Amino acid sequence: MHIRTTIFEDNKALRESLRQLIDSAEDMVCVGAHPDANNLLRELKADQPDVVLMDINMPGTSGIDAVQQIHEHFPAIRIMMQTVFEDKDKIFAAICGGASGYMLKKTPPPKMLEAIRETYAGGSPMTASIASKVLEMFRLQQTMGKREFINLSERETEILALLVKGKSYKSVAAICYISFDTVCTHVRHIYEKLHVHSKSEAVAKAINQKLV
Amino acid sequence: MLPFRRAVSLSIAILTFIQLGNAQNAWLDSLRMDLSTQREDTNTINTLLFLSWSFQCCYPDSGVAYALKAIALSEKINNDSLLFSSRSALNASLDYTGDYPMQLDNTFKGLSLARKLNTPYSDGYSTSLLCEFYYNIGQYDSSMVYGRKVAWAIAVYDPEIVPMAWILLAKLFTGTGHLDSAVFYSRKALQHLPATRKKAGSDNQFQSLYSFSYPIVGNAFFGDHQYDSALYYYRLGEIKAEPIQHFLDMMDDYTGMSETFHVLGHDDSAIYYSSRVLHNYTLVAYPAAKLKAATILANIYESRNIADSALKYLHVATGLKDSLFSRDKMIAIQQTAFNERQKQQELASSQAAWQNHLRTFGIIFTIVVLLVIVGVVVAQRRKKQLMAMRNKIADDLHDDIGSTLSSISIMNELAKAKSPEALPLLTTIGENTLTLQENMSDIVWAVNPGNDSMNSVIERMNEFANSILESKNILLDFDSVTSVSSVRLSMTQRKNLYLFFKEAINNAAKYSNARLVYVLLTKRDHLISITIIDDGEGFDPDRIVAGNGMATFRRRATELNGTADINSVPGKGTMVKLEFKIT
Repeated sequence: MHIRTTIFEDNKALRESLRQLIDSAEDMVCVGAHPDANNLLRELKADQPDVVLMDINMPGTSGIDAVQQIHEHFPAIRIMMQTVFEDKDKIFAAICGGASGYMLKKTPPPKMLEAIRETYAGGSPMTASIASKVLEMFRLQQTMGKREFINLSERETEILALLVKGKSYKSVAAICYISFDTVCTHVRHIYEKLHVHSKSEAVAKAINQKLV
Repeated sequence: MLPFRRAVSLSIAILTFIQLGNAQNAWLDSLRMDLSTQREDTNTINTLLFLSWSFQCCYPDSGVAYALKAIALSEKINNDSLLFSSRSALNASLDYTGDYPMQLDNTFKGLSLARKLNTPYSDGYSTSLLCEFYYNIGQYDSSMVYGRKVAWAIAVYDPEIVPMAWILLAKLFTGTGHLDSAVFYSRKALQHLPATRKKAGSDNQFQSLYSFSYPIVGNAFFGDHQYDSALYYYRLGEIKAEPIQHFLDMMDDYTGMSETFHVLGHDDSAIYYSSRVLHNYTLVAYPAAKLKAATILANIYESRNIADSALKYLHVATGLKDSLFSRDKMIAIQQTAFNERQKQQELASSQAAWQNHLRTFGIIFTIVVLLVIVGVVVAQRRKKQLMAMRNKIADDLHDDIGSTLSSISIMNELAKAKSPEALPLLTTIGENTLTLQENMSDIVWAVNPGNDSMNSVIERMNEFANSILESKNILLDFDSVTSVSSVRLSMTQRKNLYLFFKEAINNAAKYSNARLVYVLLTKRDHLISITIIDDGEGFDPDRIVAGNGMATFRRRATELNGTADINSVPGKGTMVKLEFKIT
C-alpha cells in the first residue's frame, strides 16, 4: 500500500530530488511532479494522489489559491504546504484554505518523509507560530464579538497556548495529563474548524482582514 | 420718557444696595458725612452709586451729580465693572434731566466698556443704553431694534423679571405706533407682575416696579384710545408712586391724566393736573414732563382764547424745548453719532481687509501645504515601490537558494544510502547544508520588520530551544516578565539576542548533560537581561579553551553595547547571562 504523492514545486532541482526521495521510500510513490499549479485540477485527476506537497511561492496560481481549489474539488486529498519562509500569515491562510500541515524546506529529509506519513495518517503537525496565529485570530474574533470564524473549546485553547510556547505534542500531553493521541485529535479538530471555512470567500475575507 | 432699565438695574441694585425705600433726608445726610470721611475705594463708589440711584427717581440732577463722581472715582482706581455701573447710573438720571448730548456720549462710552467687559449683563445693559437714547430723541424704530434685544436678554438671563421686559416692549410699541401690541404687552406684564415679588426683595422695591409700570401702561391705553382704562392706570400709578416719593413717576401719571382729560374734554381737570406738574415739582429736573404739561396748558388756554396764559405757557414750553432740543445740542448729538458711525465703518473695513488678507494667506498656505503633502506622498510611494521591488528580488533569491539547498540535502541523504563508505564525507556535507539553511532562515527572520516585537523573539527562542532540548531529553523552563513582551527591538538587537540564545542552548545541549535548562528574560527600566542556566556538568572557567563559543558571546554583547557573563561550577551547572540597554 503505497502513499501516492504529487509534488507542486517550481524549483527544478528540488522537484526532482523530492521525487527521488519519495520514490526511495518503500511505502511511498511519487505519482506526479509539476512546476506550477496552473492546470491543477486536470493534473490531479490524472495523478489521483493521496497526499499533495504544495509549494507556497509559485509563479502563476499561488499555492494558497491552489490549496483552496484542491480542498474544494478533492476533499479527500491531504495537502502539505512547503515553504522556505516561515511566513506565518501565508501558512495560516493555507491552513484555513484546507491544508493539513506544513513543512519548512530546511527540514532534514528523513523528517520530511515522516511528515508525509503523518499527514497521510491524518496527523496535523502544528508548530508554535501557527498555534499562536490561531489563538491570535480567536482572541481577535472575541474582542470583535463575533465567533463566526472559529469557535475553540477551552481545552483546545489550552493546548494552543502550550503549542504557542513551543512545546511538542509530547510535552503538551505530559503537561495536560492527556495522551499523545488525544493531543493529536484536539489539533486535528482545530484544523477541521479552520477548514470549515475553507470556501474561497471566507478565506479571502480572513486574508483581507487579518492576515495580509 | 421713562427709564425702563431701572427695573432691570433694580435687580442688580438689590444685590449690592440696601433698601431703596423712603429716602429720609437725615439718613442721607449721615451718608454724605460718611463719604467725606471714607477713603477713596470701592466702598465709596458703591455709596455714590447708591445715592445716585436713590435720587434718580425724584431729583435726577442730584442723581447725575453723584453718578459723575462715581465715574471719576472708578476711572481713577481703574475698576471697569464699577465704571460700567456708574455709567449706567448716569444714563438713568440723564433720561430725566434731558441732557441728551451727555447721554449720547455716556452711551457710547458705556458700549465700548461693555465690549471690553464682555459679560451678558454688560452686554444687555449697554444695549439698553442705546435703546433708551434712541427713544429719548424720538427715533422709535431704532429704539425698537435694541429694545427687542434687551427684552430677549432679560428673558434669557433674568427670567424672573421678564414682566419688566414686556413693559419695555409696551413702551416701545407705544412709541412706534403699534398700539395693539402695546396694550397686549401691558396686560401681559401686569398679569405677571405679582410673580416678581420674590425678586423684588422689599415691599418698597416691589411698589416701585408698579409705580414705574403704570404710567407706561396708561400711555399704551391712551395711545389705543382706551381713555377710561388709561385714566384708571394713571390713578393706580399715582397711588403706588406717592408713598415712595417717586416724583418722576408721579409727574408722568399727572401728565398722562392731564392729556386724557383734555382729550375727553374735561379741561378743568386737565389744567389741574398739568399745573401740578409745573408748580409742585419745581426742584425736579424733568423737563420732558414739564414740556408736555406746558404744551397741554398752552393748547387748552389757546382753545379757550385766553391769550396771555396761552402765551405764558407757550414761552415755558419753548424754553423747555430749547433746553432739550437746542440747535447746538442737536448738531452735537448728530456729530457724535456720525463720528461713532465713522469709527464703526473704519473698524469694519479694516476688519474686512484683514480677513481678506487672512483668506489670501490661508489659500496660499493651504496650496503650499498640499503641494508638500503631495510631494511627500509621491516620494513615499516611490520609496515603497522600490522597497517592494527589492523585497521581491530578495524573496525570490531566498526561495531559490533555500529550495536548491533543500535539494542538495535530499540528494545527500539519498547518496548516504547508496555509498556507505562515503558516509563521513556525506554527513559533513549534510551538516554544513543544514547549518546554511538554518542561518539563512535566521537571517530572513531577523530582517523581517514584522518580527520586531519581543514576542516574536520569545516565540522563536521557544521553538528552537524546545526542538533542540527535547531530542536530548532536557526539560526547558522558559520564563519571561510581562513587561518585556511589549518591547520593540531593532534588527541588530533581535539578531544578536537570538543568536546569543542559540549559542547558549546549543552549548547546553551539546556539553552539559543537564536535566533542566532554565531561561529567564527580564526588563528593568531600559535594561534587558536574559539568563540561561543549566544544572549540568559545568566547566572550569579558568581552564576553558577560548573556543569559538566564548568569543561569540562576547561579540554578541559588544554589538549590543551590553555585557555578557559566563559562570560555571563544575558539577553544579552553568549560567550564561546577557544584558543590554534599549531606548
